[in-house]
Amino acid sequence: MPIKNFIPKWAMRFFIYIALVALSLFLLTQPIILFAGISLSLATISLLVIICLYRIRETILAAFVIYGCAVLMSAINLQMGVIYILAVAFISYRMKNNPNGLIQNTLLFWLLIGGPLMAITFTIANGEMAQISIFIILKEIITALISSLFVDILFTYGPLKQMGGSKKGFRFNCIMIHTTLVAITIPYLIYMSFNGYKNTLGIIDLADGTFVSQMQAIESHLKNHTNTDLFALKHHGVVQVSRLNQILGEISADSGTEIVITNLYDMVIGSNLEPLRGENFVWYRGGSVAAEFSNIFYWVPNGEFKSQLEKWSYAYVIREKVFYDMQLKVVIMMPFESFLSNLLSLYISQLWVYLFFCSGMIFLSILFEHIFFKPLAKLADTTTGIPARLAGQNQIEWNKSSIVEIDTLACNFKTVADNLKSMFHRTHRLAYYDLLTGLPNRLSMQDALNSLFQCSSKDSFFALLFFDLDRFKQVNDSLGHAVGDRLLKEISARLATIESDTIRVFRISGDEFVVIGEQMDQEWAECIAQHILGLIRKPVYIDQHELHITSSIGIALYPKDGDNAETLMRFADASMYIAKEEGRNTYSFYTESFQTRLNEQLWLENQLRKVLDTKQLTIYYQAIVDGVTSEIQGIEALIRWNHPQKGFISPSQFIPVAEQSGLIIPVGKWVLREACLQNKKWQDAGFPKIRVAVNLSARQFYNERIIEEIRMILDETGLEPRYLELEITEGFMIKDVDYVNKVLRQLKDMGVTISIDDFGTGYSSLKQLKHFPISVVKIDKSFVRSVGTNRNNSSIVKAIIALAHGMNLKVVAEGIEIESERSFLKRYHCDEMQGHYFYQPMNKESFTQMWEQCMDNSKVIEGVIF
Amino acid sequence: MKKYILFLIYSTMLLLIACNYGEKREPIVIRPGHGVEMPEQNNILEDYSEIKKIEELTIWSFYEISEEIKELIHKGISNSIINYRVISPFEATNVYSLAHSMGELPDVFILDPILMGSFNSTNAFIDLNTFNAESIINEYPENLKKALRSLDGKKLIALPVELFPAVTFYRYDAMKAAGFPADPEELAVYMENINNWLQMAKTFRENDKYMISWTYEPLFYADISSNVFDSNLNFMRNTNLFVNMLELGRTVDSLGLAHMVNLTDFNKESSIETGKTIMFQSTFSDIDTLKKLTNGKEDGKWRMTRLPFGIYSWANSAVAAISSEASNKEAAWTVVELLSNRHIEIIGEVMKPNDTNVYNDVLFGDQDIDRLYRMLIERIPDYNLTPLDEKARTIWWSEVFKDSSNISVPAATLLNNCSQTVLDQLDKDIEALKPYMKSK
Repeated sequence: MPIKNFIPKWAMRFFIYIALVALSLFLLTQPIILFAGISLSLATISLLVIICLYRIRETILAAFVIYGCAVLMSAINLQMGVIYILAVAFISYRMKNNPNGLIQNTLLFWLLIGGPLMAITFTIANGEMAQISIFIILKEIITALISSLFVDILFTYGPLKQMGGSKKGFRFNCIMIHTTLVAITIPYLIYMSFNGYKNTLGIIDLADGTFVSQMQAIESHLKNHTNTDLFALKHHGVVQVSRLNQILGEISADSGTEIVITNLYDMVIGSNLEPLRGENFVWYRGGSVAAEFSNIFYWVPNGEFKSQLEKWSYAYVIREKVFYDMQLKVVIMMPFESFLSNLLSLYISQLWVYLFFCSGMIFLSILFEHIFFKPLAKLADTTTGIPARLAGQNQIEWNKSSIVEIDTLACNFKTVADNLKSMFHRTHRLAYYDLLTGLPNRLSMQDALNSLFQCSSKDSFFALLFFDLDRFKQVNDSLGHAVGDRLLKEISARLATIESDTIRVFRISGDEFVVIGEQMDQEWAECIAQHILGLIRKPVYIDQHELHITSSIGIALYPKDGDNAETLMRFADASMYIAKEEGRNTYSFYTESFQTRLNEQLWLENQLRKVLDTKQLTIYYQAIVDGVTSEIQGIEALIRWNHPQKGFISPSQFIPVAEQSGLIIPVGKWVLREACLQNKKWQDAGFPKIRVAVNLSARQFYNERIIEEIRMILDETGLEPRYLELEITEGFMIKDVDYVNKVLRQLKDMGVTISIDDFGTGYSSLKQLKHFPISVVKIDKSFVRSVGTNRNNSSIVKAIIALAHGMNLKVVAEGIEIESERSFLKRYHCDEMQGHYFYQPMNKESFTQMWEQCMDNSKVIEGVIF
Repeated sequence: MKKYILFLIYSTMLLLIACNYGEKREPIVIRPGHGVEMPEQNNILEDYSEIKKIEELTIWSFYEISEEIKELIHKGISNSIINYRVISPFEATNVYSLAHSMGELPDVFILDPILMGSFNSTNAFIDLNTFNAESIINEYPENLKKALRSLDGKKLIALPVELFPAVTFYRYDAMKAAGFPADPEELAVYMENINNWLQMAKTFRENDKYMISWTYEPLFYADISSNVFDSNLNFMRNTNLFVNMLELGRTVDSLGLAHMVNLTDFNKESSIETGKTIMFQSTFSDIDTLKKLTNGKEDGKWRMTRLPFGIYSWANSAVAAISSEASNKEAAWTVVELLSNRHIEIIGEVMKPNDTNVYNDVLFGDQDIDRLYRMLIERIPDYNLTPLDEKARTIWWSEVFKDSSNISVPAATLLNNCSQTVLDQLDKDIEALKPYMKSK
């Protein structure tokens, strides 16, 4: 586990702080000594790191400690210490507002404050602005600049990036400044180093040349001495020494060298320096040898100086040669000042050039920043979080720029943003609005309800009206989805007219709508409900169709009926079904009794789940008789539920629940099996082999395993397929024609008979039936009812029979209850009939018994009214 | 915060100005070789002297030191081995220089004071005042002391061992017989006139007698009696005296008036013994030589007088100095002191105003030689010995002898040319020495 996990963050920061302070102090007191007293202190780097990592107070405290100690240790003088502290304070303060401006702030300080302050102090101290002073000032500025560049790079790209809290990625302005400054600095440093080295060699060469020529001249002069003169010279003979000194003066006249000739005991014999004559002279006294190149020594004086450079201005380049034969030592000393002056002149000009270019680059970068990068950054800011801002419908301000490319970019972004906005809007619409009708959808409704609940107070109330279009499914199935859609659109358009600030209309699915009325009481809800009913009731004209649609509206009130969306929706939905039960085209407020009904439905569903296991279901059979002879020609299997507690539960009650819950599939399968089994039993028992008709629900029909299951049941029961009739409704025909055709053909191929049940109640036509392998059409009982007296029904029935026969379809009429109905149907050649008039539905035992009697009597027995 | 920063800036500026106020520093003048205490010269010499052995003492002189003197010396420093060496007076300086380069310098150097110019501007010899030698020469005449000092007069670098004025030895009887003044002073006065001297020389020459040994002796004595340079470093060899002496030399040469023999050649009969030389110039030190040569046979016949032509000079004198590189300065001083004290006793005796009898001798009859000595000492001019003397002399003599016999070149012209040659060759040295001479 990393050690840093064991050290608290504050302790780590403190430790780093102390380490940086110590490092600064060390570097300040141990500068890198380059040639000729020119030194380079790297202390600025660690101080700048402190500036970047710590707060202003901590930074200034560090500066006081570092420079205070340095002054006390005489590493720097007091004035420079003060200026450095000022630099730290200035840069720290500026960095607070401009954390990315380390280089600019550093340069700003040194150019405008630090440099002038140093110039003033030097001028006051020296009485003039000496060359050394100019060099030192420039060196300080350049050192600070390069240090700030280095630190900035460290914090931008290097390992300190994370410590500095930089964001991910790099600012283009930073890259530009860094790249250009590095591109200037590195070649410059290389050039200066190379130049410095070259100058050093040059100094050595120049000094060497001077030394060699002068040494030769001196040697020549000395060798011209006679023994006597040499003796006298070595013994400070006035003439010889004087001549020697004169010669030395002539030799050194142009070069400014200082020549001292001593005996081997370092007693000065002659010199062009008068004070030295007759004294003991050892050249390296009073100083130290700083360097040696090719027997040329660089001597620097001891003592305290304002700077190393000042020290070197008093340095000497020295060569010593001993003439052992003459027992003389010649020391030629060349003041280093002239070399230093030339060196400094060169360096100063180079520093000025570098400073000029760097300042120019920084100025350009500032200019670029204002002209180019800031607008770009603004554009970046503007485009940050665009999705959220567009989603929040916030107005986005697109700044203009004089830069064509940026302006173009901004325009493009604006276009994109506008398009995004449109897309958001569209998506929002798609998400929250119904595509077909343009009304808000279920999601909108949920949001609206949530919003209402969140903003509700104890005085808040609203009404939720839940309604659908009665028999919309039939319209859809019979006239097609296109018509259905147009119907919905028309209705929606009408409903949209009731929208206001407090009334909102939602289409939540299919043909279901919800209206939410804020601050809508029962009376107003009733009003709105009636208005809605009226709107829907108006005929809808679509193509050649005139559609009369009604609606059933369920109303739940908040907070009276519930305090959450789910409860209100459920109650309104339940109320809607109540309204349907009450005959449709009406509305119903939720009452507590509905809860009972809901509960009942839930109970039914629960019971249905156990119904097969508990064997509560039975099959009742109703005979289908020949229309002429009234002989039993077929049997319809009808499901009955005998609940142990509730008793018989009507199929009209539990079949819809079974359909809704999906339980119709296992139930329907059981019915089919039982019916086939029973029919097979009857056949085996010697009864006539007739078909048994079983109702197939839509869910069963659209079960992809329907063929397989029917085949399996037929195999299991052993019933021949031709003795099975499956009754389907008209609605099957409309949905998926290809699928229907395929299934029906497969059934037909199997040998199963297909009949259309409740024909006439859907919107299909006999013509449509032509395309399907249908054998039987069963006329709905509603048309059969009062067929003898009701002209409409009579006409419909007659037409159906005629057309069906024309298509070789058998016609079966259902629900015959009275003689007139029978006689009418008989008159018009209805093939088969079914109803209480003939036989009631009965259990298998009763049916068996009845059939046996029929067979015995060969006559129609009136069914026992159950 | 802004105000704070501004305040900081202003206060900083004030602080900086205040810090710098009155802080003007004196310019630093730091040179190599400075910065520590310089050891004194004596320390170095002492260090040097410690290295060498101190059991030996070397004495150089340009004449053979008598056994008497040697015995005296041995008595004075009995614990040292004393080495003696005689070097040519004409090569003394060169030899000494060579010896220095080989590290073989003597401890005591006895040399002709005329050569002191080659040493008096150097520190070749130690300052004898370290041994309080000034007191020894308190009684010396001032004109004598100058030659013993350094060029700047601050140091006493030699002590006299033997100081002999140049004199003229002559046959008193010969003069008288020839009808020339025989009294020493009268003769001296008479010989001040060159023509008189010439007449005398011709007269004696006719009788195969000689007053002069070498042709250009007069020029020689003019040379030793005159400073080579005056105090302003004017070359002093083209004065009337030198012109006259050169012309005289030419006349002597043309008339064959010089005997051209070495008077002190003891290997053969000297011309003094033969009586051919009836006058010669020499120094007081040659009294013994004359006595030896005459061997008592000519007692009373000789007299001494000053040099002719009004010339006064030292000749064959000796001074003793201690080398600055001497390894045994104490012993060296003992020798010098001993030699000098011995001489001082003699001089002191001679210089007494009362009758003395230091140099008087029967050879010179009843002449008061001591008195002559006293007179000559007082009249010998100050010597202005410069470091250029020897060099100038060498050049000058060399140039003189090139055309000395060329009578087509007038003497004055020749001497001017010679002088010019000297000046040309030594002009740099002269220029170098001038400021020093001016500052003395």
